[in-house]
Amino acid sequence: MDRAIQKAAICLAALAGLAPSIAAQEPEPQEEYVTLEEFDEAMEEMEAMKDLLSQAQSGSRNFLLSGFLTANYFDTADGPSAFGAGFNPVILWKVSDKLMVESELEMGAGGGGHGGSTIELGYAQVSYVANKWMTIGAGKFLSPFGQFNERFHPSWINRLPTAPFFASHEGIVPSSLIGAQIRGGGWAGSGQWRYALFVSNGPVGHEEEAEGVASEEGETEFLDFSGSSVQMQNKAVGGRVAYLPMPWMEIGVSGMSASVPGDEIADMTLLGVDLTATKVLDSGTLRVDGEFVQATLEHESKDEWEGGYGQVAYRPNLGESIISNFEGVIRYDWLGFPDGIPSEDEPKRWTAGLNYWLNATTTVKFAVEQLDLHDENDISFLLQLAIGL
Amino acid sequence: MTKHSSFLLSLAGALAVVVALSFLPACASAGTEARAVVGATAWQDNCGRCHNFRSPGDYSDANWDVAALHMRIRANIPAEDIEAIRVFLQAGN
Repeated sequence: MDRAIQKAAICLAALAGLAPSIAAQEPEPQEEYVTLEEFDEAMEEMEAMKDLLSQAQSGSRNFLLSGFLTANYFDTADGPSAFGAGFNPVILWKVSDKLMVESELEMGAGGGGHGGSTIELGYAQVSYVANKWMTIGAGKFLSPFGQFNERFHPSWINRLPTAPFFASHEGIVPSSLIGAQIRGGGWAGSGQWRYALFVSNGPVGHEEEAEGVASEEGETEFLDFSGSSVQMQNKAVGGRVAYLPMPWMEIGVSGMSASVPGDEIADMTLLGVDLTATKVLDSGTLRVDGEFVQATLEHESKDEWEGGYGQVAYRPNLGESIISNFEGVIRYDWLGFPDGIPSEDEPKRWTAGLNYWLNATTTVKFAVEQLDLHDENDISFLLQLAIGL
Repeated sequence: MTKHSSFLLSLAGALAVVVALSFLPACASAGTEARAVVGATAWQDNCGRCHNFRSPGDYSDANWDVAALHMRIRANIPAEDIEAIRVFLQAGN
């Protein structure tokens, strides 16, 4: 019994000795737990810190760097084979829910462009969303005349390595304009409508543009629409209206009018129609595009140019099969010149292409084109890598 | 009105408020989901007419905000459609 009491006393003494250290290891309840009010307060502080951080990054979250990159190898019949490259960074800045600033720089070098190295301002515009049906814009903007220049010019969207004649730099429609525009769209029953109206610097003649002389009779080049000439006191007005009878089809009509300065003032008129239809079928995606433009220049005589293209592209949908990455394209485009210019000088071109899509915005295009010009049929081979950023 | 019945009435009122409040987020969520469904169709109709479909995961929510306003202006997409497309893309990334 005495031994038992002795053991119990030793245990109690040991426990008593350990107690302070055990107690010291246990955290104070006040340090481990917080009240609901304290938690809410901490959350509010955290939200305030997040707001401060967001303000410190002001602007950065409303920027988007986009654009596209192009690498070419063109083996053309009328020139040496050459590599070429292009980089078109697009900067988008959403200043607010209603205000947008956007700009594209066009940089190119080597073959497939104008030769040499070029840097141009593609567009630089500010747009204000006035209401749900109208946006007001100003600056240098892609021409809303027709569809090709505004919608299909990026190399990762254009199904072929080249642009149709009428929309190229030597074509008859402006790729961009300097001025102001209003534009928008909405629903009309089961269909939709679109519109864009603009006023811009007017065109001048290519030859002796510094003196403001309009294109002379017999020339194949149309007008200079760059809007950067010293003779830009004239203005152009125009626009495009379009209707979408079905969500996958858009039909548009465009017009543009201007006086062209020179020894004798000339009146320029552009009229165009365009169609875009993209139908997603069970077997694949079918794209049909086309545009026709007629340009008239009236001074001493009435000279008429015309141009257009028709294009069909089809990409099969065979699930995971590699064939689903291929897309076949065929296009016919042409340019017509005023009376007096031999018809054999008018370029007519067939282009057949095969694209391999590495992902939604990256494609390798291979195309063969047959150019009918000066009573000769020249064959060219075009290879292009296009990456949409 | 007895004390008992007024108490029951107050209880029923409080319950109604609690039920209504708990239902509000569900309504908002259902609205967002409905807009995302409409947006999927609008995305296919509007974006696919010109170019291949970018994956919703290609951009962050903030980037889709910028891209949506850009495309509204560029393609003249109606305000209701572009808002639905934005919700759809942001819900899917």
